[in-house]
Amino acid sequence: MKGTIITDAISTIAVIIIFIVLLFTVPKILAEIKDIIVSNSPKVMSRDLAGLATISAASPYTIEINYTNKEFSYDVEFSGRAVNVKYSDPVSTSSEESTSPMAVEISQQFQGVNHITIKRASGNIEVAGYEK
Amino acid sequence: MGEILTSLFVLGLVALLMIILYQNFTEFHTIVNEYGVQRHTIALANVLLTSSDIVYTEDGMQKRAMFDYNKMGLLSKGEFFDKYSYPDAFYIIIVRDLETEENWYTVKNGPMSFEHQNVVQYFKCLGSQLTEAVEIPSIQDLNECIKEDFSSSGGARLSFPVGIRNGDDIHMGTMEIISGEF
Repeated sequence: MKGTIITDAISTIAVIIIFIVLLFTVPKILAEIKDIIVSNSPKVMSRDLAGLATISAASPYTIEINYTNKEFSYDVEFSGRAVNVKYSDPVSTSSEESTSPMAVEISQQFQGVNHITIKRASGNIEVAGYEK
Repeated sequence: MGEILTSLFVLGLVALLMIILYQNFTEFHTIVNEYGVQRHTIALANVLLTSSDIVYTEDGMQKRAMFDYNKMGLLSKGEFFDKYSYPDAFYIIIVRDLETEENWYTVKNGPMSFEHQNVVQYFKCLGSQLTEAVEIPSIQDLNECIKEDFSSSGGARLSFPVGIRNGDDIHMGTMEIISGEF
């Protein structure tokens, strides 16, 4: 009888401790997941690439911008005055893709890349995509 | 001891069930809250401020935000916007020499992806508010014009300090850029 009471007390204390630990760790884990989702989303990436391609034209001389994503690979298409980005990782089940407008005209297409280089030299803007 | 293990097992089971549900039935979408038109206008204004088409060049060095008086006619032609402009957007650029009160302006649009008729209607609406004295309409008026004919992203109006150089003579000026996206 005494043994059962002690076991029950230990069980209750253990569950309470686990819940307290989860209470502190779960929000941090969720914040990290949210951060990963946001910084790797095609919407953010297409917006970044469109902005960088446009602002590269504001450089009077030579400029090279390297944009890397360490988490995922993407299919990136610069077409006319827009850039389209979508996930190309087989592990990703998301079909999310996004198109952002840009002020410069570039036509290039890359598949399964996580590193984009935007280079402006002699007035011309060139983009290249790699898997790193 | 058995109860502890049972509790942990139940917790693990719930966590596993949640992971399976998230992986199979949940898709995350990111919503970016931003004032896109303003961001685009700032980027394009920076391109214009260093454009070799209108900035002053000395010994092969381009002077940022220092416009060449002799090239200002090119601004009025609006050729810059054929090379650099956002799609489905229009721009009004006004450069003012604050010392001589001389003005240069241009009204241009980027590549359009929809019915031309809408653009004509829009510019008629805009034209009714644009006078010869280069008194430009307010953003509210521009947005009203856009809303009449398009589902609008809105407009932006920004001003930048510039210099206008004619030989050794340098005047203070402003470049105002007004844009709207449809």
